[in-house]
Amino acid sequence: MNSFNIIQKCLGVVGVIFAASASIAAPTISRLTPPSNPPSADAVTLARFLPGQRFDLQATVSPDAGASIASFSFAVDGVALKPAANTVGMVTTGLNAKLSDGTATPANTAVVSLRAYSNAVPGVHTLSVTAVQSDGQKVTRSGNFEVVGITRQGHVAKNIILLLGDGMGAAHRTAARIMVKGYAQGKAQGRLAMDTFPYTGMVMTSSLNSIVTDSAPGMSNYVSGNKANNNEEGVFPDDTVDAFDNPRIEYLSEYLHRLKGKRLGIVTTADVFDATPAANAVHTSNRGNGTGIVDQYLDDRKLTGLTVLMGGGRKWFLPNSSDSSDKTSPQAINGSQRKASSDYVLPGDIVAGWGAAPGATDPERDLIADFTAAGYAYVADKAGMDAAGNPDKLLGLFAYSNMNVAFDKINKRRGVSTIVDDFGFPDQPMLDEMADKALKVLSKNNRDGFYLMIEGASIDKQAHLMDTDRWIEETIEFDRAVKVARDFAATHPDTLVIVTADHECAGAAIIGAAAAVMPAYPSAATVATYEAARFPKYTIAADGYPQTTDVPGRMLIGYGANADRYETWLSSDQPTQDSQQPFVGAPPLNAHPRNPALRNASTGFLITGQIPGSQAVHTASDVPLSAFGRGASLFTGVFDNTDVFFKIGQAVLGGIK
Amino acid sequence: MKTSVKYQHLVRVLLVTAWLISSAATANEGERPILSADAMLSSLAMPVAGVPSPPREDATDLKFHEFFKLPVGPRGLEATEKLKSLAGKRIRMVGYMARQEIPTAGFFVLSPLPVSLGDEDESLADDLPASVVFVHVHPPGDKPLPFSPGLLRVTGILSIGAHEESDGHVSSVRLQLDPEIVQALAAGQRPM
Ligand SMILES: [Zn+2]
Repeated sequence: MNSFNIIQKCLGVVGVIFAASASIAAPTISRLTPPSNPPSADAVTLARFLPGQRFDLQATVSPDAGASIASFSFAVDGVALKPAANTVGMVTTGLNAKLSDGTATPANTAVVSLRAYSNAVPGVHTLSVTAVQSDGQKVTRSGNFEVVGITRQGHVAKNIILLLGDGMGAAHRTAARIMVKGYAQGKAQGRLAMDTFPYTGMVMTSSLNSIVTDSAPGMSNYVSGNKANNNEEGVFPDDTVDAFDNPRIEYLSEYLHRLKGKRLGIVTTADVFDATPAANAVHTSNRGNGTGIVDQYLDDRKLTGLTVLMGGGRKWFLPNSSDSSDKTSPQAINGSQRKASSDYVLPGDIVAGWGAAPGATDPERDLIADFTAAGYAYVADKAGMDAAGNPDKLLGLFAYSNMNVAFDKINKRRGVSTIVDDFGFPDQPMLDEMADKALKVLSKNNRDGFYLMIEGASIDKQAHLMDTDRWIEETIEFDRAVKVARDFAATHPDTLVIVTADHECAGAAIIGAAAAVMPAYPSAATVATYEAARFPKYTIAADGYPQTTDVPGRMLIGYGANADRYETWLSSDQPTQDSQQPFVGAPPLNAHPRNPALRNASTGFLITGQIPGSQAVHTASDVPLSAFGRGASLFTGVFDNTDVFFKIGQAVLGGIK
Repeated sequence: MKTSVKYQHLVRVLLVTAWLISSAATANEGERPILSADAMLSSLAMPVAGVPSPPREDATDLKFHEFFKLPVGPRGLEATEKLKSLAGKRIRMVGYMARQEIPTAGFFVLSPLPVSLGDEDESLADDLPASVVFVHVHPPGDKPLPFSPGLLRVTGILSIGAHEESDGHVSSVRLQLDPEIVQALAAGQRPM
């Protein structure tokens, strides 16, 4: 036991004394943020920060019946903090009905905050909050946080490229390698770009409130150094209803932009409001708040250094001029999904503490016009992206919602599919093309460097749908973007490239191969296991993707986190429906299968699921991480997702011998 | 904020098993048991259980896929000439009544596929296709119309342009439901 734990145990005793006096009544503190381990637990500190990284302090204080909270103060290592003007706040309305312990929230409960605190001194610090009730009774609660020191030891990384294959576990990587490189006599005949990275680690992916994370904390934990709850990004949980007032944690992008002037790039095949892209720049406890999320990208560009934003999600950027009197509005029917209830307005203490834009409830906002006015070139398709040259800043919105997947985009380019036309977006770029453009824009006249996140989003989305061929080709597309990043790092040696996933999706596993001749009625018996599986062979076209995935003896995938599905062991011509797409209910998209339990219902055999719902789910399995370039040697062993943040911090601030 | 919402499903589509068995199985021997709202309108001879609604001679058929131009423009969806030309006129549409967790008096959502609208937390707009119609009932009455599974054929007066609905949704296309359809739905019948 170290001295810190002894202090914690003493504080535990103090806590008991306060608890004993509770019978005579006294205010109570049900939550202190950042979260700590219970004082008696001999466990590691939860909240960790890089030197000077900003974060909010917050506590939830409940007074005795008939009393209210009169004042509060935070102290670090026993020294009371003197907050800057307007950076403290007390909220007594709009609280959740229940406190974090599940009991009803007492009247006059106050959520008290001190915004944008930072500490530059490495080591474990004690945090305490003291609140005084209207009758003079006091309560104190203590916790701790750690500032992780940086060792100055050589050349620093100037640029960071984090490639995130959403849902990409070990099996997803292996399946892509088997398909695109081939195996013979037990050996892979080539390597994926991500296989060539010299350093590899394994990441533990859990979130603050579950062993199984979703994509919001899955990304946020990498780039904030702290655990977030599921559905939450860039924030700690709190006790208020407002999804935009949670205690914030400074993101990697914000920290590096403030300290080093680095630019931020975000590239995804998802809707840009989706959890993974948003968890690099936007702070909210509800990943579904699309309007506020896309607004914050632009409004807080001076905090994040946002320079490139590319993906789908045009529906959030179009003005929605609603008209509450029942007159026909002059506004065109543009498909906007902006609305007041998913927009954001920040409390004054966040605005003052962080220098954040206050926000506004403005579904009528023309966000594309606002981006353009702020100096971003706007492109709507691949031709536009190619024609844009090398602008200072770039906004690319290539679909109404999520972009189409590689399987359908590449078949359009080959002239054998009109799926992307049917979605209304015939000319969407591939992820590697977007990555290449992003790197050109970010590195233009840039001495300070950049942080670029590139997401292969639909590895996850298609794995949820158990559409094997689509997620494997999505992984191939992702790996082509990895190659673009690796090639950039090869000519820019001060660049660190990391390839990993936020979590595994679907419990995917390569279970064998199909019999050389597919039977008319596929079944479990169709799976050739062990040596009967041999080495499936695919022909790779000049575009880098398999000519077809329906080859004799094709690789077969099983799912350990599966919902019901009909399996034919063959590819599906059509993607499974995504109801966020505008034309999904109209011909021809309405002929697409609605979910895996309907897809191939008349041609496949039923594999019953082990989980509720109609899609496969994420798993808690560790995910591989590969690193290349300056600082890559830090990324070995088995580590937590929050550790990645501190390794990047070391590479960028302290450097590598 | 503590949200209990699970975003594990991209697509929250209701499987209305009852109609699959009752209608699609008899109607469609094809590869997939999927019944298209638009296809329904094209072949009204298809046997579907429901109460025949009185024909309105002055109604023009409108299909969901006739709402917007393809491909989608850089500034978003654009209404087709047909949709614009029908504003203020009586139209006839076939679609599904969206199942609402908290039904609202005065309107329901007619969708080209069976969808379920979640509670407030779940960012409804995000899961609705753009080509839905908000079907208004005037006067609104004090209770919502009962949910009616399966395809409905409705007639009424079309209006277009953005309008904020009482539940916070913003609609683009609306239908003022004809009184005889309101009566049929209120009586628990399925106009078809
Ligand atoms: Zn997922």
